[in-house]
Amino acid sequence: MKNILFALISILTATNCTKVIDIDLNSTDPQYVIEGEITNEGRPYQIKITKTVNFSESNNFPAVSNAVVLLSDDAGNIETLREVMPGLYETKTMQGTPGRTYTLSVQHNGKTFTSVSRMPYLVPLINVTTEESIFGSDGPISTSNKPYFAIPLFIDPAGVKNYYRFLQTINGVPDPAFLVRNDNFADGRPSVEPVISFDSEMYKGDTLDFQMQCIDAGVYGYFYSTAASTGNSETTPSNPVSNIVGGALGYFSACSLSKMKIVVQ
Amino acid sequence: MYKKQLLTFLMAFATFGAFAQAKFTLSGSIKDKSSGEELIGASIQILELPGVGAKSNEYGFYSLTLPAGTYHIKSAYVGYQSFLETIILQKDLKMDILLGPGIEMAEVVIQAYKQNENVTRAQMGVTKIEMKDVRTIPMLFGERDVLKTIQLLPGVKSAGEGNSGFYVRGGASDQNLILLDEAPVYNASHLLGFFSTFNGDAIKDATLYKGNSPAQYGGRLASVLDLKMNEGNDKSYHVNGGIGLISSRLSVEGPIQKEKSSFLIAARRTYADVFLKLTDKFNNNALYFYDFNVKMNYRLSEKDRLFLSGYFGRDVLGFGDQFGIDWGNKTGTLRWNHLMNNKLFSNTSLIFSDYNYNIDFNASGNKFNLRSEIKDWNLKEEFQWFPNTRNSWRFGFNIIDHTITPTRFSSDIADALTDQNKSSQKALENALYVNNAFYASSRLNIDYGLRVSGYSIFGEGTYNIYDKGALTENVKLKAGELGKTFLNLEPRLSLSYKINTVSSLKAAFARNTQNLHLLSNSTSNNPTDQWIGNSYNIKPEIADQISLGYFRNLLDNKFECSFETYYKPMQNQVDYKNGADIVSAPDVESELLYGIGRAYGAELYIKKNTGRFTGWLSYTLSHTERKIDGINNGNWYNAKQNITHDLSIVGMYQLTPKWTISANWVYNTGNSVTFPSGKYQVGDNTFYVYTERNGYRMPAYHRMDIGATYESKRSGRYQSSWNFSLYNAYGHQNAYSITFRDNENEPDKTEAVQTSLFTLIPSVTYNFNF
Repeated sequence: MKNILFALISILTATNCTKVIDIDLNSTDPQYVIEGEITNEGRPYQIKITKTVNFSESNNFPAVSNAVVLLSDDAGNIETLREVMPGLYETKTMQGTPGRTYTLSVQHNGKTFTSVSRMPYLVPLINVTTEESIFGSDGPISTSNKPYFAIPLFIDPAGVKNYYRFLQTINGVPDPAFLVRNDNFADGRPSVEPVISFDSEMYKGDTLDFQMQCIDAGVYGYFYSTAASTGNSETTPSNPVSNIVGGALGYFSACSLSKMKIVVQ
Repeated sequence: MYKKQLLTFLMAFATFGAFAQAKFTLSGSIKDKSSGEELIGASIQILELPGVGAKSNEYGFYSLTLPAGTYHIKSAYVGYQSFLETIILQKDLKMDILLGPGIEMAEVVIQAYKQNENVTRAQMGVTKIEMKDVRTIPMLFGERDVLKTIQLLPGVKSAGEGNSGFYVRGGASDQNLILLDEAPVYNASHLLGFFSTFNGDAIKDATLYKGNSPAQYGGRLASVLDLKMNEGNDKSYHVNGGIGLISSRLSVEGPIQKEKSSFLIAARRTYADVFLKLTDKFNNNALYFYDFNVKMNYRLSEKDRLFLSGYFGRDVLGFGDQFGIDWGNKTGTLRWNHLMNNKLFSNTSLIFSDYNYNIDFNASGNKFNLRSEIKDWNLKEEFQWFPNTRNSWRFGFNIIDHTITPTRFSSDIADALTDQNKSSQKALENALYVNNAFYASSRLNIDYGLRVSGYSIFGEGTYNIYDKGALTENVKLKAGELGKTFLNLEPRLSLSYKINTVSSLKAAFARNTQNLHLLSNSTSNNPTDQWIGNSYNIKPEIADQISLGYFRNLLDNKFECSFETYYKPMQNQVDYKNGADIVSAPDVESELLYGIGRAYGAELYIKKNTGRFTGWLSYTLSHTERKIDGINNGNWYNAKQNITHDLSIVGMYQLTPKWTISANWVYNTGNSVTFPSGKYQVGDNTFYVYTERNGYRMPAYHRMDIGATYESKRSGRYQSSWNFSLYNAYGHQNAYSITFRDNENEPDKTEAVQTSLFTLIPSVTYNFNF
């Protein structure tokens, strides 16, 4: 919504200009960043642990090695992940099962971080169609070569809270947008709303790999707040609301997913 | 001893004599000679009694009660020739005063009646905006704009580049009460803030109270902007218009029955979207606003007058048939003035006000809609009583019936589960007030009052109660059932102590409360920001403002100077939590946080009102911060409108009778903003770490605008003028936003990117009237 409004300002003035500037930003003590997913698909599952760097440094994020990483579920399974690459920890036996609640625990240098995520039951993706859009990545447009957006079809289960995350890969290039939805507007009915991304465009003939994840409320909160606080100069930015307890950035998600590959037409 | 007794006797006798002297009342209206428009705030003075005087009220009415005698009366109003008359007061007298337009030359002013009202009146932190300044000061796109003009005053800060939104003394933009003929205007901006809702042709008077308003005003913490619409010429018909680059306006006024009733209709529309049609990329888009002001007044009798005024405005943005958003205000005011007697004036108003927005979206053959609305019915009764020359009282009540509909989703999909049936909030906002402007002595003026404000929540509806975002219980109210009442006492006091004829000290205290809150996660005006009333979670916002000031006029009152300081603690401030779901949350109250705030500052204002060169300098030094549980780890942080230095210089010079040139220069410290202190990676994306809310500043903002007005020779009734302006004349690239991204060529580097909006925007407007 605000992207559209912001785009309109630039239409209205036609004179806006951008330039790269120097800003002296404060430095901050390195913080832990944890990122991990367990899905209903085949194992192994990976947990990545890195640290933040100061803004002026290059994008080489230090890996956190020799952490004790434990993944357990509410069915009594527990596994210590092994470090396969610096900062990358992998499961061997754990199998993601919808309906189960997973607990991730990370210990490093006397610090402990935990996160709990419940893998929702799978809401299957029935179909994905595409439709001509008037919105491009720069806002509304009306050229003859219009971009398309995807419309996933699935049936939201009634009476329960459901949260979804969509991932698009267009011609092999992942769309960086954070696309999440809850069912506040659509509890218990077939979905008809399009997925609108302002970070990438697809055109007739493109190949779209579409993935739909069913996520829990905490993971939804993380991605929703990420979308709300990035790529938008109109709001006061803040760190996304993480579902990790103990002061780490990032998220841990147990999700059930389904995929579909289509050609845009 | 004998002599002393005699003296005492004589003095007692003299007092007795003065007491016995009969008193009579002089009353009437002060009007513009040519159009019959009532003049608001025109002064009337008695030359024989220095310091004794009155001002016309918002309907042009004045009343003065004096001992019998012969007096010289002087009436004056900025931009008008003074009126002098000798009266013999032996009975109650009714006298309408007609002032002719014209600039009063300084030489003509006789020593005895100096224009030092700004020094003597008790009120402080109040500014009247001259509509002639609004017409002359250069503006973006050449659009005359009251709201952008007040941003050049001390203590008032612009909400952003080219924006009509404003902040007063550290308050948020929703803490300004904007009244158009007494009706609150809930969103005073068009086109994302680049235009205000007020058509310069339709506005007659604008007064800004910066937190120390008298008791008849209430409901917002930071300020009251009281705008009055023109009544319309009751003598002859006139057409007024302007053709600009992106908008045009037209107004028609005239008598319905000569000197008895009149009307005014003013309309405006932008046509920026016409230019969009010329482009290949955007030719399907609609982007415009329009608004209408209508006013009629009718003199029922010598003592009764009826006014009907209305405003209707709408913004429309549309992209093909897929997406559309429109929003706007509607207000209507029906007023009845009644002169109970020559000392008691009554005004009864019935007021309607509405703001709503509407978003339509079409996809896969279905229609979706999001909307929100606030609607008021408002009854106001006010009495103004002028018992003697020392006191002028105002007392009355105000009952507002609010219906507030939070953002609500619906679609045409045939499924009951789809629509959100959020109930509208029903509430009554009541106020009872009394205020007296008391002329205690020739040195001391005191303006004191009390306002009792109440806010009651009514059913039907379910109100959830949250503790730190978690639902703890809920209250179900039946239709019409009273849920909860908030009651607040708001004392108001302003006083001035005159040191000599040209200088005074002033002090003021005011408590203001606010029962309606605008929820916004945006750093600028947004049509989708929604209003919400007090609830079981949201308490009335409270601000206590203490001000001290020194007022001094220089060079025979040619220069008005003032220095004011203020300190304002605020309670029960409301904000969204980080990552709040502002659109789809079933109950937006689950997304809110509460805290306190404080603001303090010093303001310097030097103004030259008369002569060929007019203008002002205003400088503000201020600080404002918030402390909200759940933001910035619960520590104090700078509010975004916290700017340290704010300087405006405005100059207008009458070069020749035909040419007027003008210029203004503004400089201010950048807004407080949140910038990252570090970065990290999740997936393939680089993210930023924020450690401190609003801990950084935007670069300093400065800009000069220049303008020129050419008045052509009047031919018959037809007169026209050309208005040229150049916004941001030296083309400084002011930062509108600063964002961060990975460098395209060196992906492992991150860079800051500054976006600027307007550099060197010329405009030309052709104005005409006949």
